[in-house]
Amino acid sequence: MTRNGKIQSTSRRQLLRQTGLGFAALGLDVLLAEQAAPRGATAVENPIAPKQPHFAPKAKNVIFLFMHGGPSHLDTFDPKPRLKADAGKPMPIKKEVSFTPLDKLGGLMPSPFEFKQYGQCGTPVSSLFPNLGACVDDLCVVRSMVGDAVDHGGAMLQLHTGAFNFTRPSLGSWVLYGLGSENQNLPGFITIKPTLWHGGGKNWSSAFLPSAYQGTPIGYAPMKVDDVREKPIEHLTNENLTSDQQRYELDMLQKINRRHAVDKAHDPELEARMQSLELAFRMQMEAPEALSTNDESKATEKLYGIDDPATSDFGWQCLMARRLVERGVRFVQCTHSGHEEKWDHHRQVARRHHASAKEIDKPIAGLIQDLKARGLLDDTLVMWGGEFGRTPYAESDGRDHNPYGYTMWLSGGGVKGGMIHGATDEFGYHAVENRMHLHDLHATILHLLGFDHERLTYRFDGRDFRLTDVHGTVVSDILA
Amino acid sequence: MATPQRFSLPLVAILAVAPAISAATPEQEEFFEKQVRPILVNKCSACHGEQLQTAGLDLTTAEGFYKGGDSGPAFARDAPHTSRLLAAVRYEGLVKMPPTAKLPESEIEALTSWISQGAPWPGAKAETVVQDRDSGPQWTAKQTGHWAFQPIRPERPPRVKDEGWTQTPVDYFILARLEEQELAPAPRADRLTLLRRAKYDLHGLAPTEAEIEEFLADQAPGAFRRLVDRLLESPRYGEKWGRHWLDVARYADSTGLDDDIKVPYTWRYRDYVINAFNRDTPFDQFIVEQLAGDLLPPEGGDGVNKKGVIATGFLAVGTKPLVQQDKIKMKYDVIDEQIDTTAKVFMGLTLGCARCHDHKFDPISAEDYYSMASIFASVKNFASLDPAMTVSKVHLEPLVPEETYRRYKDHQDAVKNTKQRIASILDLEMYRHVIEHRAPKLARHMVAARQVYDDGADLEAVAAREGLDGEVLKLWVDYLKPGEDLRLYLQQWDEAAKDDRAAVAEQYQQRFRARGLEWIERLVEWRTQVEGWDGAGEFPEKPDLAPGSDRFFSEVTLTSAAMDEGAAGGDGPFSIPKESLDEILPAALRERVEGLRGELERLEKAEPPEPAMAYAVKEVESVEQHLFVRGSHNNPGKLVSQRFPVILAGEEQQPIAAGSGRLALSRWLSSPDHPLTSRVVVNRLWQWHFGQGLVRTPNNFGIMGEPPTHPELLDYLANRFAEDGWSMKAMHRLIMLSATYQMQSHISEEAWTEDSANRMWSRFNRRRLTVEEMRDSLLAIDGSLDLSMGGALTESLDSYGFEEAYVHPDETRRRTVYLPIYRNKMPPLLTLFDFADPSASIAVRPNTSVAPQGLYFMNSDFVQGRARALASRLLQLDGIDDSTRIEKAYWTALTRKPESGEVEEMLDYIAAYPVRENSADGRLERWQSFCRLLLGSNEYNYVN
Repeated sequence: MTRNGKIQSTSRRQLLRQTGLGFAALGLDVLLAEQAAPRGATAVENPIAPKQPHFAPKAKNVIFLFMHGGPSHLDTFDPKPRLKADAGKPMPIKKEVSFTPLDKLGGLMPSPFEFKQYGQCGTPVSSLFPNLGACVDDLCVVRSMVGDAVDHGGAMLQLHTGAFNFTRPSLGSWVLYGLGSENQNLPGFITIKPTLWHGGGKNWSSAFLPSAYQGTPIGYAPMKVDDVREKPIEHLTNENLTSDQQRYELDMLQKINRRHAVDKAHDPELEARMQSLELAFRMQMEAPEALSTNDESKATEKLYGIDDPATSDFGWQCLMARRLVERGVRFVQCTHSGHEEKWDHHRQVARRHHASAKEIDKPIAGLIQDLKARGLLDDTLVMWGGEFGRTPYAESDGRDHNPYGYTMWLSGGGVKGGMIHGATDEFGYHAVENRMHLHDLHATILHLLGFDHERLTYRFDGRDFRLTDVHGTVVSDILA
Repeated sequence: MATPQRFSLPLVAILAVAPAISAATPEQEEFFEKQVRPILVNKCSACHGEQLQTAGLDLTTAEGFYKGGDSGPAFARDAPHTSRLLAAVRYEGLVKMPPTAKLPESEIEALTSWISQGAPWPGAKAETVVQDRDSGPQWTAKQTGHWAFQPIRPERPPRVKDEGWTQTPVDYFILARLEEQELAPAPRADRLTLLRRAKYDLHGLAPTEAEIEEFLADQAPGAFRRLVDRLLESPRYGEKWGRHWLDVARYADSTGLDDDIKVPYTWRYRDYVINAFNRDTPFDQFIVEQLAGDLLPPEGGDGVNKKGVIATGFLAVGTKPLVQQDKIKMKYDVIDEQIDTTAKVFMGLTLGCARCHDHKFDPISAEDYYSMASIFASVKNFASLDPAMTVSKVHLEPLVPEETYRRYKDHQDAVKNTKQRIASILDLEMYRHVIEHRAPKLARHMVAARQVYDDGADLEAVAAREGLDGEVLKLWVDYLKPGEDLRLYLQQWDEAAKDDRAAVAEQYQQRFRARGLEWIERLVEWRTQVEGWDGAGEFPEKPDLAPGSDRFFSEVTLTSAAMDEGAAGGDGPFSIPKESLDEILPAALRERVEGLRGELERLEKAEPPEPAMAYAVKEVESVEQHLFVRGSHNNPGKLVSQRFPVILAGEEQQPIAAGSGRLALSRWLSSPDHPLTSRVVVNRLWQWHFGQGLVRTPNNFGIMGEPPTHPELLDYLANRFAEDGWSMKAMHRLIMLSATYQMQSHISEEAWTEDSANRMWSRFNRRRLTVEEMRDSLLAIDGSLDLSMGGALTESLDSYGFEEAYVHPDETRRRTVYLPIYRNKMPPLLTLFDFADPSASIAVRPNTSVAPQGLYFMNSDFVQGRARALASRLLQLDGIDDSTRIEKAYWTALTRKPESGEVEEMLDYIAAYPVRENSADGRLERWQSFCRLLLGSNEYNYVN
């Protein structure tokens, strides 16, 4: 078999270096190589071994900073003077399907925040994000995002999986399925403090893809980082047993497993399970180091705002994202959420956006600077955004959901910095120029990672599925 | 039933040839270029252009324009004023274009004028014709001749050379092929292997010591048959096989998708399924009950068909996007889910693929799909489709007579209304009190508070000097003191210079009073309505405080939590806590409130028991169903009638007479003549015994599915199933008593080389324990598995709402099948070990080996606790030596005795185990490690 040929022609040391693993992950391949696999055999492969994409990628990793609730583009990255001029007047265009019943909605509401132009590019950013403002030369601000769902759950599912009314694999699962992971001692797709509502686990689930591609959560949204630090991943450590004891036990376990496997010859599954046990042992030795920030300098902690209670939680999430990406984890998501969504401000948008923005401004700016300083930003795609934007018209003293035109930004990973792509109308309600549907965003992300989104497919129930279903166009204007 | 007619579809595409387009005059050309083309390019081409032809329409070329889109021509040549394009831009019909905003009148006029001239397009080829696109689908012979759509053939067991090997008719089909391929069947498995195999297969548990002894003691011929009989009689059987069905029926306790709302009473459907298997309900009846049980005659005396209603949970338990705001789309998404699941589960057909267009592979048209949709469209799935309900509610069906349910609802309303009556008094009196007694002192409180938080004055001293209540002043200090919060409505106050404080505070006080009086007026109005309510119609609704219109007023009078609900009482600086409200009531009103409270108490005591309910569907009046072009309900096409897919039921179907057609559908599906249903069911049965089906794509018997490995056997089993009265248990016996089932799982060199995927069934397929089997047997290992059956695992599964009903698997010792299943919050244990994703019908569970599974065995509290339990049990056995203990452990965990050398090996292992120095119980630690070995071993985790 070619697979065996490949293994044999790769020196053991080479493989160790390439993949950064020890004997454990090799176990199965070596075992398989030693047995002459017969024709027609279904070789059991490590599902998250590194794989080559369709063409040379610009980005190798993705960090998605997800703002749960839907931040208002009108108060952050998309200034609309018309709202001030026409404050209180009814919006003169027909309203689309709204989340809040139409009779509860008011007139146009200007942003309470001032905008200022930053950097060489002069991209305007509101007073909510002074630190992030200083990074605009590295950001590609997409002001023309469009989605199809006006409720959180639907919109989050479409953002994360491409579909809002069907269960589909999430973006991170597709990426891991396509590329595998460069670090076998850590999960390849990690989501830090995700929310358990609005689609919950479906937002990091592999759906019909094998479960090896599903996201591994580190904590959940309402938890404080201090409670997450101790046990970031379930079952990763054992408080009752020393690693010597576990090694002693595992050696015997593998001895009886091997004897059993020889007796029950030709069963690749038995070998696969033995391998998973070795891998698990290896993971529990290596992963805690990656998941601890104890070796980070004070300066780094300060850069991410970990020294300030207001920013320490999201700062830790961002720092963890960098550590994981640095170690080859393919897809990391940091969710900004709490007991309730941090950005869903149907009421008091001024007060609440102000409070939420403070928690993330410094950490995100710190992440971008740190990635840049370490040379990681070139092949790491950073994305920021919520499940939709908000309406130009008021709901009480807040804003309703708006998937018809809103802002997300991208940075690094083969995307042009210091640019604005697309535009909404003069009220900021519909995207009117260079509309970028979520399917287009997905197609573009996969393109940056080296995939033709139409060819990254998986067959299930007799049909080839893909992240973009039958849609999606790569937005080449934003590619560096 | 009508005989299926094949190859007779009238599928000739009709191209109605319209007159050719006349050439444009120079004036028309100029008009088009100046007035019309800019509109088409600027306003339409983004969606209807070269790159993207939404709804199949291209408005940038003459050909595209004249051809029209999926729903027909954009331009009606014979009657231009009726052209779809004009209706769309005038916003006259369902399709409104451009969708973002209506065109200016001048542009609509330009388009109207151009179209009324015959829509001349400069440079259009003279032969361009306007096409009638109404042509039906054309199937190829390969599609219509596909094996699964042909009638089931009466197959007889073929001849074999080695008659002696066969035990049931199944074996003839298997052996004949093996002999043809010159492949030897694997030898018969030994008795203990068969015991463990049968026990896991039928019960999902390891054999107990008693069962091992009983089986080994029975040396007479037919012992295995008697074992199978015993296992089939036990209720554990329904728990195992019901769970198979729940995989394909995508059973869960929440709605999934967007908000994943917990649904109560789902467990009644789960228990129905378990009971149906235990009682060996004939499968045709099982089908009818699940699709139309509510339409069957009632069984009990009260006129309610409880079992039938509960059974329709099959339709109800699918995912539901309850927060989708386009409620018509929500309705059709659920219908789609039901069609898709019903077709996959009973027919192995991916009918859902025909929602937006004719099926890409199978001979199923969009019209077939919408004919089925018209059956499901008259099913009630939601309490209401009211667009004002942001989060829609699912329909729950009472299991009691209508009058009983009505009485209960009336009582509920009476309780709610009494509470509202009390609120209508308390709310008004609180605001009256605040405005009369406190509002006049508001400015003084603000100024005094500022002296405290800004100027550093002592609170008590300031309170004393100003004659203010110190506690209230403290609340004002806390409220006004600026913090991180951005409160724009306090900006004027925050920025007021010291000298202006009193004046600014006075302004706040004025506004506060004005707002208060306005609000009181509305509360007075409400109370008047409440007092005057005569019991007819809706109870008068409480007015909306609209806190966003005046944050200062609302925050000062209410808690922030109560604010947006507008409820009285709270900890705003001027609010009156709920418990003090009575004190401000005038005596007469206090008496009235007391009276109402007494009434409320009486009502609550007299509450009738909550009627039993089911998560089920209900029949409502049938609807006229259109075909939706490209699946969009905003684009209705032709009217369809209720009927079944033509490829299966033929052209000449009797129209479904009355009602929704669900009953007719269920009878059609469960008819022995149906080419798919019985094949699909027996294939599942085979798969659940052998790990894989004869057709290895059990939910897809279509062209993209796999053909059966043994088509004759599949048809034989399908016929036999119907002949045996659709009895599952009869089929279990037929299959389990076969030599085929009783082969070893050992893979010979020859079998591995010739047939590694075991398509010839020359051996039994070894398989890993399912997560339920793994968890349940680990619990059973020391007898602590709780075998009580059915019901809701937590009380909150008996009410509707958002509160948690999540039960961590470690928190209960009940069998895994009874754990509540939250679609979006699955217990990690289940997903980790390849449980079926409950959001879709899962025919084959995935089979993965990943490191986190290893971590679970090494480090989880559950596995460690189970090993400790087994170790403690072994050590508590008195009067035996360690060798015997090891032997016992092997029997319990592996259903065998240790082989030579194994006992010594384990004794050495235990002796040399590196116990920690400070260990409290070294012996237990050693034995615990030994038990972990057994429970973590491949041997324990696989069934041979």
